[in-house]
Amino acid sequence: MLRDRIGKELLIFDGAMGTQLQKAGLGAGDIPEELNIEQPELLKKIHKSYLEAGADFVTTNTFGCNCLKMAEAKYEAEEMLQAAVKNAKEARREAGREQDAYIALDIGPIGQLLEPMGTLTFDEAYEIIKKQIMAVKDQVDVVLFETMSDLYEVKAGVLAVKENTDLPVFVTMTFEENGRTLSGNDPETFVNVAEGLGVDALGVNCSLGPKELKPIISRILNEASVPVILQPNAGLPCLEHGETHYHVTPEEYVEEMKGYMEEGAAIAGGCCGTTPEFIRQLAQAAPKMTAPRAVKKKTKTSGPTQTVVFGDKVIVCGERLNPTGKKKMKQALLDERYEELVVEAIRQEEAGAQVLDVNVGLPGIDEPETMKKVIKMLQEVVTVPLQIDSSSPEAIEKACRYYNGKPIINSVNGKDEVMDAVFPIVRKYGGVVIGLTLDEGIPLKAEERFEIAKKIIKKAEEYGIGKEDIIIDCLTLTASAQQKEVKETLRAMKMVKELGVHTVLGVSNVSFGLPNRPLLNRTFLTLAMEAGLDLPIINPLDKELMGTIDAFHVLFYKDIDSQIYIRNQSRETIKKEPSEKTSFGLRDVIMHGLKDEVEAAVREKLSQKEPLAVINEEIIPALDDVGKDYETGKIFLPQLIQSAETTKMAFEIIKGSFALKEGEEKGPVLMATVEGDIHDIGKNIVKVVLESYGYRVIDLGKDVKIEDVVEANRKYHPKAIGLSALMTTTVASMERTIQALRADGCQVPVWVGGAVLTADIAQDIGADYYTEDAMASVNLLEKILK
Amino acid sequence: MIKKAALRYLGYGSQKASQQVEILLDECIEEIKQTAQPKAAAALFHLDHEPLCIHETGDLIPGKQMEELLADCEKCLLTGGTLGTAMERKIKMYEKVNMTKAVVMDAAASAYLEVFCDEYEENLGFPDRTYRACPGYGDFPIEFNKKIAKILDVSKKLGISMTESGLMIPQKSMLGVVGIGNTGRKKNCRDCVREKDCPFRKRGERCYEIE
Repeated sequence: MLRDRIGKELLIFDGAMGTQLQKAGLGAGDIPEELNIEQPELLKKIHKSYLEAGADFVTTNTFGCNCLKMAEAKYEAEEMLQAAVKNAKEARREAGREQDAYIALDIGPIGQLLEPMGTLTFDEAYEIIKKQIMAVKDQVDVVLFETMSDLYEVKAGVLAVKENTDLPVFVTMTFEENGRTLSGNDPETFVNVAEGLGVDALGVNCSLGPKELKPIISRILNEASVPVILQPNAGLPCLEHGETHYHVTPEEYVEEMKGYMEEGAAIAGGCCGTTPEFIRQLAQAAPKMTAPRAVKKKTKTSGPTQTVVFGDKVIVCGERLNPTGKKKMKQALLDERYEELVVEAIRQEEAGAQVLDVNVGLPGIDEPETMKKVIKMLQEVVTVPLQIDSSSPEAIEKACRYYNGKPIINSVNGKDEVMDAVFPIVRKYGGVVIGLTLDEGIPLKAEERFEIAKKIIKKAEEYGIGKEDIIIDCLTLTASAQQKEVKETLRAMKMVKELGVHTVLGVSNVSFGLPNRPLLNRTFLTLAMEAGLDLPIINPLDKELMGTIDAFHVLFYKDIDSQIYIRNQSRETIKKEPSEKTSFGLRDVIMHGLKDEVEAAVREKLSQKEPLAVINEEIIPALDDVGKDYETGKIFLPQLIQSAETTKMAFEIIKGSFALKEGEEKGPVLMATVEGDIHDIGKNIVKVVLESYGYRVIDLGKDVKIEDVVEANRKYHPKAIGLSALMTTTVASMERTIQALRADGCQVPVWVGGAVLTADIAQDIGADYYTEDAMASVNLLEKILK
Repeated sequence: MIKKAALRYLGYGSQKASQQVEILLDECIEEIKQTAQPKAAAALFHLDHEPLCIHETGDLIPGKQMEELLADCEKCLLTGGTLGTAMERKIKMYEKVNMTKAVVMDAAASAYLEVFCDEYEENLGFPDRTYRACPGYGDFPIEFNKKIAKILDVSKKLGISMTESGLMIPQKSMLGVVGIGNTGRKKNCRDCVREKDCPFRKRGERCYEIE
C-alpha cells in the first residue's frame, strides 16, 4: 500500500513531461493532452523512460485536462483523461513495475481565478475537479495537485478527492522568489491549511531551481508534520531570444536535492527542464529511507495569505462583528447590508486585530447562508484569520467549507452532543476549536471548569483532533452579578495552561452593569494575561486596551527592546487630540473634503439649525458648487470623491441625531456591474457620489447575474436602476439584463454607463438613459426622480 | 513618470493637482511599491504576412492597425505583465473604506504597471522594436487577449486569468504584442493606434512627446 510506504521509504517521482513533449515537437499553444489519444506510444515511451530511471510514480499527462481548459481541444476531457491513464498503466506494465510503482493522476490549476478575485465560484471549482477525478478514480493510485498557486483552489480539490474517493492526495504549490504563491499564500499558510484538510503529502514543485528554493523548502520542512514532496525545476528559467531554457545539470540538481533528503524530504522528483537522466541520478543518490524530522506541534490559524502562530505573545481577536447589543449591526444584517460588516472588519484589522470573530446569529435570518455570504465578502479584503462564532453546527460547517484558510471555531462546550456535532467538522476541514468550560451551566469553581477542559481535550483526541488545535475558554463572569467568582476564571486558566493548551476569554463581559467599563476591562485583561491568557476577544478600537497589551509585552519581556511598544506608543503621544472645533464652516469642509473636520462642523451647525435646514442650506449648496467645479474642470475626480465621502459622513452624523422622515431620503436606486464584468470601480464612484446627494443605493456588486438583478428589482422596488459595463464584450450582457428586466414587467428607468458606452449604444440596447460620469448620473436622477 | 501618468489618468491635464492630491498620490505609490508583486513574461515568435499571423501557432493577428505596425517586422514578442492579486485586494479594500484613495491608487497602479512593463521590455535585449500594442485599443480586438494568454500560458506563469468576456484578472495586468525590427515606430502620439480617437488628446493632452 502506498500509504504505508510514504514518509518511511524515500520515494522518487518522475520529471518533466512538458519538456519531453516539446523535444518531440509540441509547439507553443498546442494542447499536450491531445497527444494522449494521438500519440500513445510517445507518452508510453516517456513514462517508461522515467520508470526505468528509477521513478516510483508515473504522473499522467493530464495537467490541464479539465473541461474549461480543454474547451477548444479536439476531444472531450474525459476521453483524454482515460487515454492518459491507460498510457501510464501500460507503460508501468511494460516496465515490469506493476507491483511497486504508482499512477498519479495529475491535476494542475483550473486556469480561472476563483472568487473573490476571480469569477469562478468555489462550488464550480469543486465540480470541475470532481469530474476529472470521477473519470479515472478507480484506475489511479494517488491524486496529485501540482503547480497550484491558489490555496482556495487546493481546498476545493482536496475536498473533491476526499468526498468522492479513498485515494491518497498529494499537493504541491509553486512559489515565487518573494516566498509567496501568485495568490499570495506563504509556505506556513499552505502547510497549515493543507494539513488541516488531511492531505497525505505536501510540498513544492516548479517555481525555481532547487538552490533558489532553499528558503521555501526549509520553511516547509520546519512546519509540515506530513511527508514532504519536492519537485523543483532544473534551475531558474532563462529567456534567451524569446525561448525558455534551464541550465542546471543533473549533477548540480542532485547535489542540492541530496541536502533536502538528508533534512527529511520524503518524496523527490523534478519539474520543468528535468529529464530521465535527472531522475536516474536522483534515484541513485537517494537514501532508501526518509530521514526523520522533528516538527513541533503549534497552534496556528490561517487566513488566505497569513498564519497566526500562538506562542509567546498575546493575540488580539476583534469582537465587533457580532450583532449582540449592537442595534446598527443587527439592522445591517436584517437588511443584508453586509458591506457594513466588511467596513467594520477593515477598521479592526487596521487597529491591530490579528483574528476577527464573526457572529451573524440573529433570530429570523438564515444563519448558515448569511455566514457563507459574509465570510466570502470578508475574504475579499481582509487577510487576518477569521474566528467562526456560532452555536449552529450547520452555520459552522458552511463557514468552514467556504473559508479560505484554517479558521478558529467558536465553539464547543463540555456537552457530548455539541462536541459530537462540531468535532467532525473541525476534523474534516481543519480548524482550531474553542472549548467553553461549561456543560449544563457554568461551574463556579475553578476545579470543575478544569475538569470540563480535560473532558473536551480527551473527546477531541477521540476524533483525531490534537491538543494544538484546541483553545480553552474559562469564561469571564460579570463582576456586577458574580463578583466572588471573577477570580475563579483566572485560577481556572492557570490550571488549564498546565494541560498544554492555549486559552481565550471574552474580556468585556466582566464589566457589564458597572460604570467606566473600559477601566474594569483593561484591569481584568492585565490580570488575565498574567494568568496565561493567549487570545483576548476585545474591541481593538479601544486604544487604551490595546496599549495595555503592548505594555504587558514589554513588562513580561515578550517585546524585546520594547520595539513594538515604542512604535505604537510614540505615535500615540505625538498624535494631537481630535479637534472639537473647526476653523472651517461646513460648506468649506465639504468643498475641500476635510473628513477629519466634518463631525465638528456638522455638530456646530446642528446646534444652530434644524437638521433639515443643515442639509438644504449648507450641504446641498456646497455639493452643487463642488459639482459645478468638477464639470467646469476646476477640480478633478479625486476631489469630487473626497467631497462626496465627506458629505456622506455628514449625512450619517445627521441621521444619527434624528430620523429622516419618509420621503426625505432619496431613492432607493439599484446599481450593478453586469454579469461577466468585474471592473466595478466606476460603478462604486457613482455610488459614493449619489450617496453624497442623499440617495439610498442598493449595490448588487460586480459580475451580477441577470436573474439577481431581476430579483432585486422585485424585492426593493427601486426608483431607477443603474448598470455599468466596461468592455464591448460585456455590453451584450447589459443588453440581456435590460431585456430580462423588461420581460419581468419592470417599468423603472434604467440608466447605463461605462468606458465603451455611448448614448447611441445605450439606446440600441434598450436603456432609457446614458450618463458619462458620476456627476451626470446625479444630474440625471435629480431630473427624472423629481 | 508614474506620477505624471497617474494624474493624467485621473483627468488632470495641464492643470496642477492640489497639494492634498499630490500627497495622497505619493502615499499611494509608496503603498503600491510595498504591495505589488510585479511579474512579467515574454516569448519570441516569427511573423507571416498577408495575412498577418504568428508563424509558430498560425494565429491570425487581426486589425488594420496591427498590419501597419508590424508591416516591416519578421518577428514579434508576445508579452504579459501583472501587479498580482495583493494589489487587487488592496484597491478593493480602499474602495470599501476610502474611495478617494482607491481612485488615486487605481490610477497610480495603472501607471506603475505601464512603467514596469516598459522596463521589462527594455531589458529583453531587442533594441529595435515597435511600441507595445495591446488588444482592446483601436481595431485590435480585445478577444486577442485570449490568444496571447493561451500561447504565453499566463495563467500558470503570471497568475493572470481570463474571463469569458476577455477581461483579465487581476485587473492591473497587461498583454501585448511588440514587433521586432527597426520600423521607426517608437512610442509617440503620432504613431499611436488611437491617434484619431484619443480621449486624452481631445482634452488637449498627450501621452508622449512627439520626437
